Amino acid sequence: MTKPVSMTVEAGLAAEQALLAAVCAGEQEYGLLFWQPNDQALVMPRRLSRLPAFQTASQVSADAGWPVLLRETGGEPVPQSNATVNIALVYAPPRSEGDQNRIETGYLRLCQPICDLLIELGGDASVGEIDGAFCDGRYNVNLNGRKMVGTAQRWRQSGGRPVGLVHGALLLDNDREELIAAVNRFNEVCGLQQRVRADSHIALHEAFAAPDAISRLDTLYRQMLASFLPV
Amino acid sequence: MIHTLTMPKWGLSMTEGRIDVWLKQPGDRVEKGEEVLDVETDKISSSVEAPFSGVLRRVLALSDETLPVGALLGIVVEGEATEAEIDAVIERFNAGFVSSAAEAEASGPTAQKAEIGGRLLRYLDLGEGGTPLVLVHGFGGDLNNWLFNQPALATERRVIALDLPGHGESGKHLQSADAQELSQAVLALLDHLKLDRVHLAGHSMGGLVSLTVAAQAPERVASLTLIASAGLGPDINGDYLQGFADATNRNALKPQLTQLFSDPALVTRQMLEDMLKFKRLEGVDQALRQLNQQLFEGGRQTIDLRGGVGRQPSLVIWGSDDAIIPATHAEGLPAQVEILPGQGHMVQLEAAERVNQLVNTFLKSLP
Repeated sequence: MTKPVSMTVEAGLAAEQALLAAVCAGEQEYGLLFWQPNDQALVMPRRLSRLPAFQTASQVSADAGWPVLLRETGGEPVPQSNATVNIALVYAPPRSEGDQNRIETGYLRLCQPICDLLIELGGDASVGEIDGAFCDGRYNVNLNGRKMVGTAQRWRQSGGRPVGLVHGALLLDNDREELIAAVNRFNEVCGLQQRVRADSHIALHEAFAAPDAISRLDTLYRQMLASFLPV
Repeated sequence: MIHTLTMPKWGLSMTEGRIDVWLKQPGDRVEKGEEVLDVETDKISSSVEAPFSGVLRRVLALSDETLPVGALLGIVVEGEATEAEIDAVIERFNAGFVSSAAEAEASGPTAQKAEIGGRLLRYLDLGEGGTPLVLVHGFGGDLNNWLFNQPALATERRVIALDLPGHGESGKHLQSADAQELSQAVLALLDHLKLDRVHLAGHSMGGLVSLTVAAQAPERVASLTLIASAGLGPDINGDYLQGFADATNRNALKPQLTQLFSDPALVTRQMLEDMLKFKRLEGVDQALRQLNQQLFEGGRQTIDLRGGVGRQPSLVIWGSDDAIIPATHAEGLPAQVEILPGQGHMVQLEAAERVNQLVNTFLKSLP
């Protein structure tokens, strides 16, 4: 049974970048990694580090037990803890696909297996924005109308071909109140407008026991990758 | 040789990007394919690579600056170039540069969204002059169902296509989810656009909606064009409606969509992906189920508006091989009836040229 690899948030982010580098270098055809933090941190895009109050907000966050880490993908602050499982999908699209739908297709490839899993479990799966969710976006995966998975992408060029890291942060266990507090605390001190709400989110285990969820996702992703890559 | 480095376009929905960080500085050597800077767009971060080798001589966009696709980011020089020569290239580029958003605006209107009658409605407004024509799509469709019709019809007059509530990019929440609610949305759009009187063309459920508008506000409807219309008889392919509403993946959806066309090859992978993407949006599933229950309960059409046909000049178009609503519903109607041999339910897409010709001729014949 596939289990997510347990590691620190910093090590997890580094492992994702290493996976991206390995596919870029041609060392492997694709990468698929499930990892679960054994510590906690507030992870955000590099651009936020240029805000005037960033240092102060980072200190306040760290003092509250949420050290700040910077990541390579866009978006907003995202809390990472043992309650979350990260999915990193790395691949180079076949040249035949062209470039115009690369981003949309990337999100579809990440979201479709999760939606399929939720439907198998008997849930109401959808993709779209959810008001009041942290790091909200058009490609959240939602369960019963609440955000369960946040998504982002990082693309690099490798010998003229694009290689993408498509990332999903899946809320597994109900730690919503604490996660929300961490985001709102940072946003407030940093002078960011956004305030997020616990009731905009849902954890997978709140709705389903789903002990084999990660194993099933692993299978679904590998089937999906096999449909368009020479794996 | 002076090369320009511009904001790339990574996806259909990308119109602008924000500079994150320059990985190279002015004076640095860059090799073809090497990463020069990082750009972010909502939740995507990507490196921009040098399409050529040379020296990065100018950086023209700063960190955190947001620029449209195609905008000038930097200058890479292969060999020698004076500062004056570089200045001239930049000046020429900026003088000729029109952002894709501005280009789209110049080349014609894009779909607009407005808060109308208490809900968000999306509509596309093309052409000008004459009594306007309003196009109303069917169950599970959107304004793109008129992709091959609207531009051709708009050469003669103003033509407006909308996304009905619960569909496309309009608001998804429905209350009564009946023909009245949908027709009220059409009338609210007419009010918003200050249109007193229009021609209506409806496809499938959109025909039923058009008939309902004509019943509710006959003085505002100059003519009716009903294409494979609902509301003209009891029969409907209930298995299709249920199957379409239930389908959650490509394998389940494909056999449903192929029933819409006489040529199943027209159901492309992209069409399936787009439809699944739509069906997964918040509120869509509920809206489709509500409409199905209200309008087509038990696999039968619950509303008969045959008596409304003919009060305004009416054109009825049907594909002879329609597998969703039988063409026999066109029999005996007080209207100009055109049955197109070998065509299926999406006749306005499959036989677009013929349908456009019929509609244009019909509308021109009216006083």
